[in-house]
Amino acid sequence: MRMNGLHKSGRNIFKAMLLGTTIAGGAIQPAMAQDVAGDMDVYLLQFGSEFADGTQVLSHSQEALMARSFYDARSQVMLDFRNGAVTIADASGTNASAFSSLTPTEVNYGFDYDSGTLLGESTFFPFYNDTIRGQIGNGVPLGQSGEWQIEVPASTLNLPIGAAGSIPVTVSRSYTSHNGQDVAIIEFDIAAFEYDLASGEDVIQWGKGVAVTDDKFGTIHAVATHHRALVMQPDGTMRPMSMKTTAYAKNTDGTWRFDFAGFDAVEDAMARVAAGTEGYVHTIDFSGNDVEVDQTPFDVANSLQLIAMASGELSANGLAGDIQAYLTGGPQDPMTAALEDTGSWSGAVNTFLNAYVEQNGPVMDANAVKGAATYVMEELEFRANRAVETYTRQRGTTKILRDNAVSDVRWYTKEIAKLNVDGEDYSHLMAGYEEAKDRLSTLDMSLVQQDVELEMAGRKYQTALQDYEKLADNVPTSGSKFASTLNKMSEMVPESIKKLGNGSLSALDKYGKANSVWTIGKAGYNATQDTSSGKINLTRSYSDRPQGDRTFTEMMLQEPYYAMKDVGVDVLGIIVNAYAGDKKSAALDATALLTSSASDVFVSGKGLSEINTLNRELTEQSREMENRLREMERRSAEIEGKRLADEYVNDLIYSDVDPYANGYDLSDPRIDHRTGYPKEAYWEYLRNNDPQKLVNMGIDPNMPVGGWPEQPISTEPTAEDWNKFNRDMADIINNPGYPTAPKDRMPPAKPVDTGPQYSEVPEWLKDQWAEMDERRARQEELNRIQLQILMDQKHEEALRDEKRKEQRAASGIDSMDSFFRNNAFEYESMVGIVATDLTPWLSWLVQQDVDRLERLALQAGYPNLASALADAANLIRNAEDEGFRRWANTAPSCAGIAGCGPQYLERWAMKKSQVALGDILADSRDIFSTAGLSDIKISGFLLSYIMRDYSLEDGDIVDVIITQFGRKIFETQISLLNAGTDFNINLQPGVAAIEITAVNEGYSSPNTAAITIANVTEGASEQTYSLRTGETATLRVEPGQ
Amino acid sequence: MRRIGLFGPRRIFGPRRTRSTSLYGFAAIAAAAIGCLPATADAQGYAEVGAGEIRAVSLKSGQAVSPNALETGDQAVIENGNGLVSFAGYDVDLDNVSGAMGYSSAAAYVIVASGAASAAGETARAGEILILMPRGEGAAAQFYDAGRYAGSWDEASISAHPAVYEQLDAVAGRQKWKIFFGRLGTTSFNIAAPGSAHAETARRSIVGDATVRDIRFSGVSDGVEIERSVVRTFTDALSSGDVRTVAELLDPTPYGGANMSGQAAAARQMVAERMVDQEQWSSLVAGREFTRTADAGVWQAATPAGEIVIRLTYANDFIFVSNIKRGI
Repeated sequence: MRMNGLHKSGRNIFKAMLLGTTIAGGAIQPAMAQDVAGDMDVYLLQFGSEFADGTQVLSHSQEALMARSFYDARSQVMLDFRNGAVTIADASGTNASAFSSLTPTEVNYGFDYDSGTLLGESTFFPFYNDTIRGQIGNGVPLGQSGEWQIEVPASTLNLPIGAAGSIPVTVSRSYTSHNGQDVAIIEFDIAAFEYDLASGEDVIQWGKGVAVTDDKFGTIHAVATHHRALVMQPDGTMRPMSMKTTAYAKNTDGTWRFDFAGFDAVEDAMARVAAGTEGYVHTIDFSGNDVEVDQTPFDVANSLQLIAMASGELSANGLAGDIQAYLTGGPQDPMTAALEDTGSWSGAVNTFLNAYVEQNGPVMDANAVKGAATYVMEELEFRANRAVETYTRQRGTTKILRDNAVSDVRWYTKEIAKLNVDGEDYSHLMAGYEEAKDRLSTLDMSLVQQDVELEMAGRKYQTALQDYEKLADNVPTSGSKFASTLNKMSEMVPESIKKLGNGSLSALDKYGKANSVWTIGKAGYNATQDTSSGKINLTRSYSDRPQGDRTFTEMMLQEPYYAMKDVGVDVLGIIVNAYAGDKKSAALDATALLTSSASDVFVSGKGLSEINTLNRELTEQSREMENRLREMERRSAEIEGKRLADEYVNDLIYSDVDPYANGYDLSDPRIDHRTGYPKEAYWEYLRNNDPQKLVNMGIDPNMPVGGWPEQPISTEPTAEDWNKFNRDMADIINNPGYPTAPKDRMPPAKPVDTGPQYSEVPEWLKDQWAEMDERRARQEELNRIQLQILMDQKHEEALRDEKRKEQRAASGIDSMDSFFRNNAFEYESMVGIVATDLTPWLSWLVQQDVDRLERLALQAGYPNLASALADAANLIRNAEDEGFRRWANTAPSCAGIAGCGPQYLERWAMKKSQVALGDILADSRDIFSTAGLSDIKISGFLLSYIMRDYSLEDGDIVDVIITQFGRKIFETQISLLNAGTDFNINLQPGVAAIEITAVNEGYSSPNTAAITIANVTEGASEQTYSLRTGETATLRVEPGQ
Repeated sequence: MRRIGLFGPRRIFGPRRTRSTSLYGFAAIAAAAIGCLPATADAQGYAEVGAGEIRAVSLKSGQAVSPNALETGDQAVIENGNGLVSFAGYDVDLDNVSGAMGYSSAAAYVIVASGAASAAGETARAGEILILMPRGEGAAAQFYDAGRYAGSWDEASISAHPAVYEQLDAVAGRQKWKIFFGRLGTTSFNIAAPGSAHAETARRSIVGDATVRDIRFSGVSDGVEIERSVVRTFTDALSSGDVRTVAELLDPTPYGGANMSGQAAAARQMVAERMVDQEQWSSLVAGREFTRTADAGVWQAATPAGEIVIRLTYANDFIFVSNIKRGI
């Protein structure tokens, strides 16, 4: 079965919506541009489409970030598509996939009003010049409301249709305002018209559409179009077709950006478009999927709505730019152009796929994807090893350099001590000494940093490897839904090849490749596909987002919404490439989808519950990173503190000597630091040659070398000394730019340094270190509070969302909402293969009322109980959400004419069942992994694991209990050590739970540990947790898998 | 106390409303459904129509009209109508009835302002409405809100039918006291526009066309016979080149589903035109008997050009034609 025309379902279908609105910048006449000069608007657009060709229905929804600005006589428009979902429904069922996009920008172009020119190539100009330009002058002038009719010669559409004549299109434009905002409403109505397809079929087609924008067509508030066609075959078979496209501006919380409540003019217009769109258009006596379906009516619809909207906006040159940019991908984004090949994973993928395609021909299937993923995994492993090796070599080099610095310091000290004279030689040697000393200090810090980086790098790659191991295991193979979807895409290819040679559509090829720009989110690298070579290049940039240049982890922690939106790759690229006949590119894209980040796969394959798990994992990873950074700071501070301590001790030792009072610096190696007096040879020299210096030092020149009285030396610091020390330490801690020690006032440390002794903390500093721990604890508390605030905010957002729904219901704008939704919306948050296996839950189910659970699962909207249990995390979360509970348990209003219809009651029952299921599951938490741990499966029945304190060994104690079938089979209490403690427990077949309860938090809160499990076949073999005293983390283990 | 809504047996119209619910009644929405009334009524007065010698005039056009030929949504005002009248597939016995008759998408009805109208064992008297269900499903007599109905008449209608209006007003006066004393409660149900005016408009575009309505209100209740009637009407229309009838019997789903507004009707008309032009139907199907196959909704006939198969589909409470394939 071929759905050739559905390639438009990607971004191309939105071209008409984007129109002048689209890029209003381009749409506005020069005179009007003056009015809006300096305007800028950045907002989110939600796109949706639904194509039904009589054999199947393709639905698509996707978010995009729209940015539009005017400056001087120019406008600039950027469009960045984000994540969404696509479904293909036919007689065999529904194939669905959510997808993500981190493409920097799909559309980025400028328009110069003075010259009327666009930046970039113009493959669309012929259509624009021949067709659109001829129509745009027929309407009423801009700024005036009115209605007019245009006649579009079918021949100018440059499509393979015949006997169509002119197509009458009625266009209207009205200016009005709502809630103080000026808006323009453009409607078009394409009268029913006839034409013939090349196949000999007759087509009757018609359509309607409406766009609501600001009064200068700069900002899209909402766009909705609906086209229908009936294709009549010579034998009487009739095939209905339908194309629905929508777009609306939305807020980050998903609510509509423009409040249409009470906006009757818009609602009436929307109702006109939405009239008669209930349900899908089903096949009429059209049997079999092997018949080729001509998708030309979709192309006709696209072109006509483009013309109609263009006429409505009278958007001359700008429109062409929009379309041109759309079809060609536009001028290359400077950011994209600056992308640099760093030779990373995508290169490996490319290499693999090139080889794969050469070996197997242009075949794209799940095996290729999986092979590429495996290949990448191997590549990752190689790179991980290389990274460790590189860091190790770097550290070795640094060590050698440090040894050299130590040697230099020693040499200079020795030479200066030999000198015993003042003069040029002394100054020269002192300069060398100071330089070597600084170098030593710097190298010491480098060593600390490299230690931490080495550890972090190892950890990062280890995590990546684990992700890819999961990935390789989870990539669907042939026969799966996902593979089926991919295969459907690949089947769409041949017809599109024909299209490639057909006028403006040839741009699709380029567009598809440009569309392949993708980004690896997790590792912070972006990638683009070179449109000429097909190779993938890597770079890194988040600057196309309003969130600024942050790491993915930061994004994840601070704004998970955007982070999740931005992770991954655009599956539309796959579709477009597949349609465009470029199977290799499609395979590349598909692989990119799977290799860009394992988290994407979770999102695509397992739905919202996995997002939550991912959130937890990433939070844990981030926490670990922070811990390590803190550890690095701690160790750096330790070194600096130790040096400071030495300096203070020296200072205290010589507290009776003012080293600056006599113009002498005690860093002078000729001075004995133990006494503050010149060493013997120098003293002798001064006594004979410069007695005044001795006087300046407070030494009687007549005194014999070495002096005769005993010097009163105090080694005990006074209270004032401690106060000063504490102030300085506080300065160090509070100022990240250490070392900030007042060394300009201090004597140097020991002339010869033996290097940092990381583990040594002077006894007398322990109290201060403990104070630092308290500071860290307070910081942790602050973090926790921040997290709580974030959670509260999320909760409030959920409540706001509920309120919005209520408002929508009350405002009577529901009809509009329903038009804007399609099947794919359901898959943005929930997608995947239906779970059927209840085996993992058997040990729990034996204690439950399974019949009731099954009934609740079905009422809650799940296909079976296994699916509901697979989504247990969501159910529990919803059940614990007060807002959701209130919403779910509120009976539908039975007032009004319609009363309580079955649909309302059914939905109510569904919501209540979700809560009931969530409650049951929440009461059975021991069957789930908690506190950041995630479920694992192991190959045998011997549970072998190591628990260790991966951070500071600070005396953390935990209780460990292993249960199976409700019985304890192991119990112990251990102190967590860096070295780790290993356990080997024999399990029975069935789910086991490892419950870890924090007995204390050590002196460095919280109680943190890593647990490494052997023989893991699914899940993360190494996991970490952070617990407060009394809290419990549960790890669910399925043996024998 | 007689707690009864003004209209609507529960089996048809859903739960009965109490007085606390909306007072919007039949009359108010009926007016909306009627649309613009003529500025003046027909100066010629009522026309003699039908065996029952009733005289009816369209509220919409002001012209004399047969009630059976009324456009769905229009109403025919009758004054002192007597005798047996065939209407909506029923034999309606009028006993000096003044009021109105009409079709909605859901039912046909006789509004009685004075006199009595009977059909299928039910009798509606002054202040009551005789509801005639499609497919011969029977009749029902219910109260209607005469005040609201009379209030929906414009000046032109009032001046054209002063006697009927006066009787409506009298009924309204009596109902007013019954409502005041709680003897009657009001309902939001409107037989002329069940659900809402918008829904009624959409539904009329599907089942309100004359061809469909005639079959629905032919009094035939047997499903197979209704199918047969659809097939026969469709093939006859093809043979005679009656594009309008062909179009009205085509399945509305591909054109708008539950609403044929906008270009949908025009598109269906164009499809019908193409369909009529595709073959010499008169030589293929004229006078040919189609038989129902074992497959639900599939009728076929053997012709010199091979089997012709008509596939029917159930949509919006009626049987429509999905397609007609030939040469099988």
